[in-house]
Amino acid sequence: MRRTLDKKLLRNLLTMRAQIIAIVLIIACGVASLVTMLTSYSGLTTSRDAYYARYRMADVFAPVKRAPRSVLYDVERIPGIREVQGRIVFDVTIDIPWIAQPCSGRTSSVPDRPGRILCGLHMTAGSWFEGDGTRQVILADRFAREHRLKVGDDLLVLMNNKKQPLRIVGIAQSPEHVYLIRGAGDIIPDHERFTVMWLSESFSESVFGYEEAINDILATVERSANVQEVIASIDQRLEEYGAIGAYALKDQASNRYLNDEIEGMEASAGVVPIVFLGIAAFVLNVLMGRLVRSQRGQVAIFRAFGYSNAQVVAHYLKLALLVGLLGAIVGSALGLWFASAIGALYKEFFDLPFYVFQIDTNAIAGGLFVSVGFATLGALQAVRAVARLDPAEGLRPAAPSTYGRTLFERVRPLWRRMGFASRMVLRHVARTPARAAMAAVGIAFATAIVLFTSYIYDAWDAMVDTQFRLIERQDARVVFHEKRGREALYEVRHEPGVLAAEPELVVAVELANGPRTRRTGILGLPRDTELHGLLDRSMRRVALPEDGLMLSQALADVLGVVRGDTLEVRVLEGERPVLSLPVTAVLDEYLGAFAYADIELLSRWLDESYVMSSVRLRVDPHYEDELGTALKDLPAVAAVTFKDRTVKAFRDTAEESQQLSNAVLLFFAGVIAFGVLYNTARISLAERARELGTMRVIGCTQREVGLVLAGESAVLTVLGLIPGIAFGIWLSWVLSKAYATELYRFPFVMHPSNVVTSVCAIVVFAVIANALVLRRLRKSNVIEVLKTRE
Amino acid sequence: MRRWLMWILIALVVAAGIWWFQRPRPVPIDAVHVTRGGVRHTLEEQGKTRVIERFVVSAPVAGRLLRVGLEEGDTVTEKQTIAVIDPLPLESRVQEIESQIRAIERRIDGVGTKKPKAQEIERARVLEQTASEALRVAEGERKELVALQKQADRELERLIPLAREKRVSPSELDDARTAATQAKQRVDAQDNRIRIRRLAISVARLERAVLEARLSDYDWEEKVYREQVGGLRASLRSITADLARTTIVAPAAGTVLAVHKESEQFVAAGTPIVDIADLERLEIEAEYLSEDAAHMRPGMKVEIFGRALGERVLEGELLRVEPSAFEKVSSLGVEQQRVRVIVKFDAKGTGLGDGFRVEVRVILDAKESVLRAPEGALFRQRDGWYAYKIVDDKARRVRVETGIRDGRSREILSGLDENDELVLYPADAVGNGTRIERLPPAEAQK
Amino acid sequence: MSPTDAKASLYSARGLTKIYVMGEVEVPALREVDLEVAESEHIVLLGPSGSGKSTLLHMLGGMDRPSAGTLAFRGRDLTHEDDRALTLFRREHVGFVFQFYNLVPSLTALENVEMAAEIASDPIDAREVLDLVGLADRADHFPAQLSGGEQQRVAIARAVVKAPDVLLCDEPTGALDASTGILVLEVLQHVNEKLGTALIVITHNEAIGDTADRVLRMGSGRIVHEARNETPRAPSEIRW
Repeated sequence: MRRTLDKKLLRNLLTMRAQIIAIVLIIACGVASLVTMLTSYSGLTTSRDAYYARYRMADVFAPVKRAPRSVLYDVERIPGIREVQGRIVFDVTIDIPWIAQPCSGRTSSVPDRPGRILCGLHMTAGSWFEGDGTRQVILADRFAREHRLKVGDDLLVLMNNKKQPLRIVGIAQSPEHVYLIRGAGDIIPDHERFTVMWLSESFSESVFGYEEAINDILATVERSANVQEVIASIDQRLEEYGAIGAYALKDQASNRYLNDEIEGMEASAGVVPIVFLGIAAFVLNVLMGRLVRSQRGQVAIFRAFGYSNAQVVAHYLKLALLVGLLGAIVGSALGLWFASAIGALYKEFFDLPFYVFQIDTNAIAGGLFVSVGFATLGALQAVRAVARLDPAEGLRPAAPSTYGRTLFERVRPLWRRMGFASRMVLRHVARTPARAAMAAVGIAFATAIVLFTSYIYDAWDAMVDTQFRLIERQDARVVFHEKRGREALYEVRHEPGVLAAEPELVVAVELANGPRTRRTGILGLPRDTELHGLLDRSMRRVALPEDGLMLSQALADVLGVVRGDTLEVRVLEGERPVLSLPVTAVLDEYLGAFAYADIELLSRWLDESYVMSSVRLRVDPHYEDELGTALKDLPAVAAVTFKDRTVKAFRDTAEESQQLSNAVLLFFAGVIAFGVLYNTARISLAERARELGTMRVIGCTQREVGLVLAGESAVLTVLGLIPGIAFGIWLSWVLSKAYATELYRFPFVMHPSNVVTSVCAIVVFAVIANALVLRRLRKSNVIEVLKTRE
Repeated sequence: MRRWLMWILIALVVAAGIWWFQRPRPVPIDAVHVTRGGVRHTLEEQGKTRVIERFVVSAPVAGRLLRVGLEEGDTVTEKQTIAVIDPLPLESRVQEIESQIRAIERRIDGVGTKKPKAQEIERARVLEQTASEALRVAEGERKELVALQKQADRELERLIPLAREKRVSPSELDDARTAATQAKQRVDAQDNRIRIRRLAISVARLERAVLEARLSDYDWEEKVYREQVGGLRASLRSITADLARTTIVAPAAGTVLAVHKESEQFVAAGTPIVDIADLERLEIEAEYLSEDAAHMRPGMKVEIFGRALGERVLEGELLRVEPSAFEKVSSLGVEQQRVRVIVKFDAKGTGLGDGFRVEVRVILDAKESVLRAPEGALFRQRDGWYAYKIVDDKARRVRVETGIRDGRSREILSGLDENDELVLYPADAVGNGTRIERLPPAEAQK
Repeated sequence: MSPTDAKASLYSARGLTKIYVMGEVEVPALREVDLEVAESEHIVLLGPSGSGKSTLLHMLGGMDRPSAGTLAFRGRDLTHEDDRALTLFRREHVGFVFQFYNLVPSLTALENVEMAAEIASDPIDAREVLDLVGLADRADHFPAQLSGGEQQRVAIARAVVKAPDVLLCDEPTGALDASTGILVLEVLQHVNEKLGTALIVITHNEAIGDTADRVLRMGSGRIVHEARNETPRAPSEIRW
């Protein structure tokens, strides 16, 4: 007996394969999301940890103006310090002859001979220095690749007012620059224009005039040490050497971005899989139930033949188990595949020499558990209900199910207009509101996901457009090595192609409101600035206050200040004064967590006369190359960024990951919408075979019969779309609030076109699902049903 | 049939709805207007003030400079005493000299008494004169005698031959001879007398000479003394003059710019003590790139501004463009050729001092009432300049011809009209026909 | 004398054959059946299960296509027509009555009839037809609220409202008790006489054969016996 049952099971699977596939896909997506998120999270975290450990990433970074090497001994003796290393760090300009614009680089000194150093180098080509390393350089891997530079090539570098060619002896990566940005002001790495490179200690000392001196200190601390205390001690010791302020690894630029990404993933890994898996499990439950319920005839036969309840239940449980298992397997495979794709993306985006891809067994186990659990649960509930029937009753065609009048009938004129097909559809839907609701809920989820996806896409776009078109209006930004006076502005204005120039002053500070502190920068702008338009989230232009500081909302929140409060401002450069400044305005903006002030006021607070650290330019595109070439030769210029390159890099980076996640989300939504509708329609087809056949017999064409099925789908879709849209809007709103990191806040932009898009997408899925069912309808000879007495 | 119609209608409505909602949303932009007003082509540079005339008051004499009571910033009037060099040494010097003079004058007096008196010399002279007279008389007489002699001689000579001939008696001859001889004796005696007279003259002369020599010696001594006195008097005069100059006064009214020697000290002559200048007479020097200076002409209007002036903007005029450029390393590290440009302006009441940093803006070209558009609304495409004009809430690309620009706005020569609305900083988001929505402009912060 | 000669031919079947293929087995359901049906004729098909009665009925109703042979309806060859053509044929000319009524449960009695009326090109008024079957007062009731006989009568009304040329009934009384069954037969009779609709009834009930003009007995896919009733009896007169 068992054998027949099993054979029957397999045959069942085959006949219902389309439905089963749809259901499997749904749960697979849910499982995949769990596996992907957890695997990626652990992958990135493990990779980071391994990289940092193997190449000895520092815990503390302490830049100074200039200190003798001997100071390292003192620092080493500070309690809590494990190891110390000193180096010479400088910003230089690189002249790539075939590029019109100047590139910039940060040089770091490393010992003449390779050894165990902090922030070590992972060499990908070439070797260490020869001799004392004079006029030799080890270049960053990414930059070398971008410009097709090889070991043995020369690199023209403008250092200390002298341009000289350096021979590339090696190419490497370092854990210190996993995310290669210039400094706190930048957001996106520009691998084509900015790089890091390493020079030998001897060469650095001679070329920068730093014999036996250093300007940057790396240190690792004991596990038991309190990093804050160590930093305080270091600051104290180094104060006389113009210490700019030591900071811990968590504040290091590259690490911060890496961490942000990991934290973001942590957040989503907590939410997204639960949502997806939840939806998927729910739908799985419902569909399995309906599937089994549609088998009532078979169940009756089994019972009639004498199979016990337990055997019948076991039969369908096996089905459910199979479905659940398949779902988990497919889901895990899909999830791992996605995770590997993400891993590859990460390896490129973050300059990692390796990516540790670990299969997170927890995730797979969890997915399996949920998948199988919900499948069996759904099947169990259904099979028990069905098995309770008397066999005979099961065999008889069901007595015509009771139908009742629906609400629509109240509206007499409308009702009278409706054809029999519409009435059938409406009454059928109204008859089983619970079932209809379930299907509608599935549709609602799918709609919400598509709407949400469409929103994210628009939100990114809006953010980029707002930041790079409405706020940042310069074409180029010229950053100086040191602060300069007003003559620098006039001088830059003279360069070819400059239509307008505005000064900018960025001062590194630590803001404090009692115990709450934050290291950030104050951006000084001219009061009548045109090139940096301040804009708040409600798209209102804001002017710089006449006095005091204007803070980004994010910054204000972190510090716990509101308009009118006073902040303690500890300047981290130059004379390092400590000021007390009022917060006269708060700007609720999208990107960044800065403080703003009138540049003249800022200069005055620093007791300088009108200084600037960079200049923003409007450039005539006709002269862009000329300008770049001219700027290449200015020794005082540390870097030149052209905005459209930044935007392009931003877009490219964001787009790649966006496209991936969008595709995944859309796929998931499609799978759900399609799965729900297809299953519903199929089950409808099965349940109403008789009446559909009758209609055919009476003379209704395939199309007319199909309309009844499609009509039901249509009604369910519409029923699902409306709450789905509301849910999607709410979800988007929640995300825009939740994704408020310090770096950016998502704008909440919802337009009718988003809704239309998602509706259209769902309608498309619905149409496809129905088309498939109708094809099946066409293929199956419904009339056959009537011929049999079953 | 009607059913079909209804479905078609619904489909159309739905399609229209989709099209309506799927339209690209209006792009948010900032709108600005084409206005009529002034546009100026200007060049800005940093400059600094300098006084037009700077007087360096230095010590006219060496000496101990007494404490200068003035400080930087004090105003002085013309001829006001600025500093005083201790006169004491000079005064004592004056006294010293004066006593020296007196001593010498006493010596002169002494000499005066020893000098031969005038009468003596007169007497000598008279004697000489007398002797000369006598001589003359004697000579006169001699002449007669000589003449007589000659006569006698002639007679003799006449008689000699005659004697021979015996025409005359030998007594006559002897008489003649004796006459001749007497005549000669007389002459000779006269000659003696003359000699004696001459000798007397010589003696008188000698006497006189001796007296005169004595006189001239004394004269000479006196002269020497007098010369000494003269010299001393000259020194006295100069020291007196110096003395007079130990009071250093201001050459002109003005403000003390610098006090070089403040405390009491010994100064050499010529040491600068204070600098004085009229701070209301300032001019500005600015160093422009030679390429820019080439376009500047004296007379061009210059605006002067800067933190030193607060919100004020002064009007000045370009006075002079120096003809030679000099090499200077710019603030950004490159070598440039710069030309000094001088600007004149009215410094009264500005509070500016000497060497104060200001900013200058030379107006090379100014147009008063022209159409102008904000710089940010214009962009270049291929080889022309364009702007997006807002018509019916849509952006329309128009080509414009532009003229001079001042960094904020540009003169519009053609392509736009007054009050046309333009899209500011369109970037890539705006194209021809794009629907736009205007962002509200900034409210002034309180 | 055969009345069929006098009346026009409704159906004309020649060598009708239907073979079902089930896996590797061929099951012949009809073997070379020849049949003539006249307009307004009342025929009863008798025979045991598997004799092919249903198959023949289905074929006459255009629900199935023969494996071999020809079938013409009023001269129109149905044998090679496609699905859509057959559907339209059914729509216009054929009414079906099933053993288990097969009413659409989500429509009221009236609506069920209206459904058929809506797709017909020249229907009779639905209410009139319902009245014809005596259920005018149950027009707004759902099938679940009707008894078996009432349901069958609605089914008949539904079949008839199209003004079809032939009513095909597959065991119309099979699920009903005697009195209800007679009632139903009366209705059918009524329709046949009043509207001139041909009537072909499948039943296993011999007694019903007495109400027909012709009784065809089928066996093993063939018509094995044909009998004519000179004087068909009224349904009320038969007993089973």
